[in-house]
Amino acid sequence: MNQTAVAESLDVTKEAVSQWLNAKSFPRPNKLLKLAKLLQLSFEELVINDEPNAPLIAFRKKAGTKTKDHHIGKAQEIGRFLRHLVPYLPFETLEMPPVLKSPNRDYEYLRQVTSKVRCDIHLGEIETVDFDHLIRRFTELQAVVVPALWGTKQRHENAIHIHLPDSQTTWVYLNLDTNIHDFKFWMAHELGHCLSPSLSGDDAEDFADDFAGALLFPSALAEKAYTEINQQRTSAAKIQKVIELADEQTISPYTVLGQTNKYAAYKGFSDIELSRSFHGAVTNFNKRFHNLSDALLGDIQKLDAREFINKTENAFETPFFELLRKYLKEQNKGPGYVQVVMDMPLLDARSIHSELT
Amino acid sequence: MPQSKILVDTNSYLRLAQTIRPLLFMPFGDNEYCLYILPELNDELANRRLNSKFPWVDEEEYIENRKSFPTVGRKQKRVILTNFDFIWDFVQTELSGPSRVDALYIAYALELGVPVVTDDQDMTELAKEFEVPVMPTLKLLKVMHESNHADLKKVKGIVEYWRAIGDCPANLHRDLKKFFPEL
Repeated sequence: MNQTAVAESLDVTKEAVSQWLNAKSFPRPNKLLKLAKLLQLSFEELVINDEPNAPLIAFRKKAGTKTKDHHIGKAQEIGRFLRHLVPYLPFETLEMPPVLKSPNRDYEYLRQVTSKVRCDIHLGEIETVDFDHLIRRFTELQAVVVPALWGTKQRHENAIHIHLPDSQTTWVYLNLDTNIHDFKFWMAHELGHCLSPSLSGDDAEDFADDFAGALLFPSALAEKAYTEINQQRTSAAKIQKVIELADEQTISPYTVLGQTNKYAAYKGFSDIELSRSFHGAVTNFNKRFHNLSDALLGDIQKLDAREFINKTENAFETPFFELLRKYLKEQNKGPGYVQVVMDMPLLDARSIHSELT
Repeated sequence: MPQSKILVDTNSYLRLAQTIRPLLFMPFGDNEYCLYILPELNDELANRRLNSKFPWVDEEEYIENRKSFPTVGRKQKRVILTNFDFIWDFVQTELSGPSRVDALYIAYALELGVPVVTDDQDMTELAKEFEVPVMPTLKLLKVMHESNHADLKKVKGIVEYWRAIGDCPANLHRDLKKFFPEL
């Protein structure tokens, strides 16, 4: 099939077809689709999808789930929609926020880094990390927190970290339908991502996990915990001690045990091994706490969009809804935009849209 | 006479279904107009978490009415998916606003050669870009009115209801003047 035949079939000039083939212009979408049908090609076969500034994605996955291409693809779609909010960001855009030069998982390096972060957020070496501390650091790192209600079961991920290379902006989606200790760990994990934008894939996830553990239960606490746990005579007493330490810091007992054993490995000491009943004890421990969404929002079914926006805006000091409000109004965008960018059901998106516009 | 299918998007469905009952799968007029939704609309209505202005969508009557969809063959389904890839790429790169389901509506309409009813400005622009006929909800009401499927009193009631719950279509004032100057 020659260019003349293509031009006739698509009802365009021969020059237009020539320009497309010489990469001097790109067909309008309707002509592109007609061209694909004429040549019997799929989108992937017809279009070179070169995207140098594709959004970079990191997930905080749920246990037992596997990240697939469609998970990344969907998060990148959200990232492309987020680009439109960038001009409304309240941050200083001339300077980059400080990030780590060469993030790595060395125990001593992580101890130093998390010690510095604690200092930056005006927190003592062994003081308990609170939500407020983490939220403040997000703001300083120019990361936008986006609260999400993704339920407790349906999703592959509980947090998504989206970095837009073209604007150097970071967006952190956090599922509020989650155990308060896990949520705190994810926030710390996401903070690790914000500090290490040079890492990607498993390296990024592993670093963020180690960073979160070291920040929430630092070496000094782990050292003390190692001694105290080992002083307990019975397995049950050791488990009880771990639970007590977790309670003191409002973190998961798994974090306490994990960090204590990392300290032991660093020092060349033997691991603390607990009996299987530890998992049951953790489950009982978790039952004592509400999900963050329940604690923060109360009965969500009775919550209207305004209350949801106000409560999450206050809790996370996020500029997200203000950005959204400005963009929706100025660009006259509909609920579809809210649905994609907040990754929520349409009816909720309509309620949020209606409240913001 | 074969049916003249019309696809109704989610927003338009929410604006009409509680007043014109049953809204879907009910032929009307000499042209046998019949309104359809896509199965994906039901997914859109599911799993809401916040208090909604449209709790009635969960009532049996409406759930039952939303169980009929346009029939498409395997080959048509493949074409629809190809259409979708191009449409969704355009949304991603040039016209942010429509959701995936919005793009799917345009993909279906293109293959089936049927119009789409929507009040969403971005979706309207998207439809026009792909040469899919599109109409606002008030134009659909005009068609219904001319087909004796909705009288003026009902149309007036619908518009008043939109205003009361603060859910007016874009360009309501302009479209009212155009399609129902008597109101």
